[in-house]
Amino acid sequence: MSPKRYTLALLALFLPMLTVIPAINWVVDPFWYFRNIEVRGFNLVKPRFRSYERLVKSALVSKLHSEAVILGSSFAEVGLPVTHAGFTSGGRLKSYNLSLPRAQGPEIYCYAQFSLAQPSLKRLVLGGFSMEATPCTKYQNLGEVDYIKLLLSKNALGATLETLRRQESKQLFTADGMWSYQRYSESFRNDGDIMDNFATGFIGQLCQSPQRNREFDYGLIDRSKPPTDASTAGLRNIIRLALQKNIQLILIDFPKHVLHYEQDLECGRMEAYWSRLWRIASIVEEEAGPDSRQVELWNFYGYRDLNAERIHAGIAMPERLWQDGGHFNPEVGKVAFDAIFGSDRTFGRKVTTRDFDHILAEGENERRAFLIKNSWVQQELDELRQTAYRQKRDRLVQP
Amino acid sequence: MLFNSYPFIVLFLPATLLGFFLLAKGAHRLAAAWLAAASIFFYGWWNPAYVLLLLASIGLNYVFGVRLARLHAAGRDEHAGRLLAMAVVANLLLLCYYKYAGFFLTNLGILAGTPLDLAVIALPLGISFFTFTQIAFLVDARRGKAKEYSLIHYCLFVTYFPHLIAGPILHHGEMMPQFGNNSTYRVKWRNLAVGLTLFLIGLYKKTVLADGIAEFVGPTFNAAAAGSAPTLLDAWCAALAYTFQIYFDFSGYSDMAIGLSRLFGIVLPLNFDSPYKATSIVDFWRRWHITLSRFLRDYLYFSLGGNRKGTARRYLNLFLTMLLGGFWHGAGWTFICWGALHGIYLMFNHGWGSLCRALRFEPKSLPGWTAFARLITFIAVVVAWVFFRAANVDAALVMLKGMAGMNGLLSPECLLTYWSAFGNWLIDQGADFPESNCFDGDAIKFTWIWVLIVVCWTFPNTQEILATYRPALVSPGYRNIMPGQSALNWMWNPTLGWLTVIAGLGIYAVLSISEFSEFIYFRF
Repeated sequence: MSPKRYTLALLALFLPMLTVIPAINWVVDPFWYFRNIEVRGFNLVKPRFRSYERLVKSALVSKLHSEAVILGSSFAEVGLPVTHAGFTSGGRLKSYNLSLPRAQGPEIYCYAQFSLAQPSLKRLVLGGFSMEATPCTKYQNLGEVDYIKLLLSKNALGATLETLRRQESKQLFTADGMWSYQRYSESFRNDGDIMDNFATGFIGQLCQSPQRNREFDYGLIDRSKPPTDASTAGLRNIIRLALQKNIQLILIDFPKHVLHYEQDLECGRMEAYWSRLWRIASIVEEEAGPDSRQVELWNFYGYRDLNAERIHAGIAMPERLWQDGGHFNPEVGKVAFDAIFGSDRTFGRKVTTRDFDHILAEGENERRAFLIKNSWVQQELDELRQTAYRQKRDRLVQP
Repeated sequence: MLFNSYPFIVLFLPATLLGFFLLAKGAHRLAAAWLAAASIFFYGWWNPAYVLLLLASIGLNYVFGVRLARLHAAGRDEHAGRLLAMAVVANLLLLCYYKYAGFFLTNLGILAGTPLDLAVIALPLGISFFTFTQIAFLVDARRGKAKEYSLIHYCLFVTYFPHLIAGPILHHGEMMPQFGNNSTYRVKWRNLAVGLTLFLIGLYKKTVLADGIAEFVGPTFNAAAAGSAPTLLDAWCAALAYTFQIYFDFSGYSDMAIGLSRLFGIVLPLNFDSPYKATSIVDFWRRWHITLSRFLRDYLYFSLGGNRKGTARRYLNLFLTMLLGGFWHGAGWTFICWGALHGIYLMFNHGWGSLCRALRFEPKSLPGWTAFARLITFIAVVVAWVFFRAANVDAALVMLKGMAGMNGLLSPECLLTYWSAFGNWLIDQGADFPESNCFDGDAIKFTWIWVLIVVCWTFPNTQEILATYRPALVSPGYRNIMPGQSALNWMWNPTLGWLTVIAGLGIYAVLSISEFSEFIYFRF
């Protein structure tokens, strides 16, 4: 082969690469960004979306001109139904679930600022937030998308090939940003597997010496006026931004499974939980006024069937309401949204400082009544602790 | 603009190449001017403000150079010496202001007990390289070695984009004749084939190998800088990962630079020759960043007296040359330590050589000596890289303690489950197994390291593979790479097989350009 033929052949191989590969990636669209061609059996299932959702989700909010956005950690991504009629005002608002797995307070704070800066936004449901203001230097490019990464990268090509290959697999995401997490995983065959799964998420909830039958200590709730320093500046900033832009802001304290509430009580954490809620409610009232409809705080503490699904219920994973103690399914989220955006108040309450004592008392009464009727709670809690301890121990020595 | 970026590969390079050869049909000077203008555009892409600085530096040095040559021709050596001293000082002052002023003031402030901080000055890209290139030119002009003084060619010599940002550091004498040679301006398919091949191999080294292993470097070095103590295994893994990161980063860059230049028919000097195959530190410096070590030898070591002033002075000169070489890499104590360490290594190396000669001892005749010498040299180099990479001297010492096993001999605890009885025996002997995370995801790290060790120690380098086509200029005193020298006799030729291999590597490399990733040597 002459050097001329070699050079021309090399160039001939590269030039198509610069056009064919981006074209394939654009058509298959493994990251669900372009959304021009969606064909069942070809590219409808997006198995690699999860690995890259941080790359595209914020850009999608901009691109789709989303008007109603849900933002939080995986609890919100899995459980808050983005197409809920109340949330979307009867389908009139274009909605998107911008929540991200493992998102922590600082990341959520930056994403919230980004969301509130979107001209199209009318409603923001925010969960998993912290009150501090944290720097967003890492998140300066939110809303932008790197087309090179989407079209001409090794990762994009790999994702495209996997998308084409795995069309028979279960769709774990929806186009509007919701994730089914472990709901359809085939590794949960019985209640023992569910117990293991609950225990994995429970390891972080373990404490040195939980006190059985511990009473809630009302006197330990800190009801002091919240400071106006950096420790609350983040939340204040978010509320002010929402007020300035006339955006409805719903702050959500995610529902938890009763086993987690019981563990928190026995570990002495519930007083801090209610103190934090008091502080948030106070900040909302200071910034938005005592009876604001534009900024609201919602809490879902309670001992109801909805968040007291037994681990040993003999129900298959896909039919369950809870995947573990923190991840609830959209059935639970729907009832929560019914309360916020409708009139069905069976689950959840709007929290104000004025109603705070009433909410506390009502919650405590509900808890007592529930525990009397449901002795399984303590049994499953003990088993859950043992399983979590065992997992923690095994984790230390497993290769 | 980075070589490993789409704007460069898709727009800048084809446009520059096309413009160069089209203009060359009309007038060679025009083509050279085009290439110089494109190179200035390439430089300005990063920060247009510093283009003026670059042009001012070129203008002043050109005037100095022409004047020095005239003085030399007129035999006015004393006057020429004063002018040269002035010109070199001017260059060094510029370099000191941009690169070292902050460092000196900070340390002066520490000594004086008062903070003396200068406003942060952005380091102009490649300033160390174009300053050194031009100092060499001035010295050569003073010695009467620089022959050609065309302004366009001089401007191209300094700004020529394949070398402008991170070398190789060029000699006036090896470039100007090529710029003046008519055959340079003719399209030669052989040059295009060789250039493209070199560029794609270099791109693969950078985007796949160097960037691939880079993710294993940061966490441990950053943790050490934050005060946590890495264990033996973590510390060695991070140090080795960095050793290979910098190797493939710089070697990839050098291949790309040489390949790019070859596309324009210009052959650059060899900068890299499998340095981790070196069997001594002296050998290492004949293989690593060859044009820098050549510069340091010719313009610093020799100027200090070299080996002409006795043994003690020779060792001192060696040490000082390496110390300043380290400082050239960056204004920081870590770079000074790195340079000093290499200076000490060189002193020991020369001392050992002298001792062997005195005792008439030929260690190379011992079985396995070459492998042993290579291993010892490699370990010494790895230890020195720790200073080069660490955020500060304290962090480097923490890493070195980890590498010495002073933060726990073996890690992590889960090794016990692998080794059972052997692990228990080690405990009985006093070995410590601190509790830490197990090898989650570490298998890939070990695989990377082992694969890259094998590549570095056994594979022929790019220059060897393309030796038939003389891809780079070899300076006197350095290894003359000839075809068929390497154990694995991989000789590139424009064949279908090589086309498939290079296209495969190239496509994979181009697809790997998805992250913004600078070359490590861009910072120097």
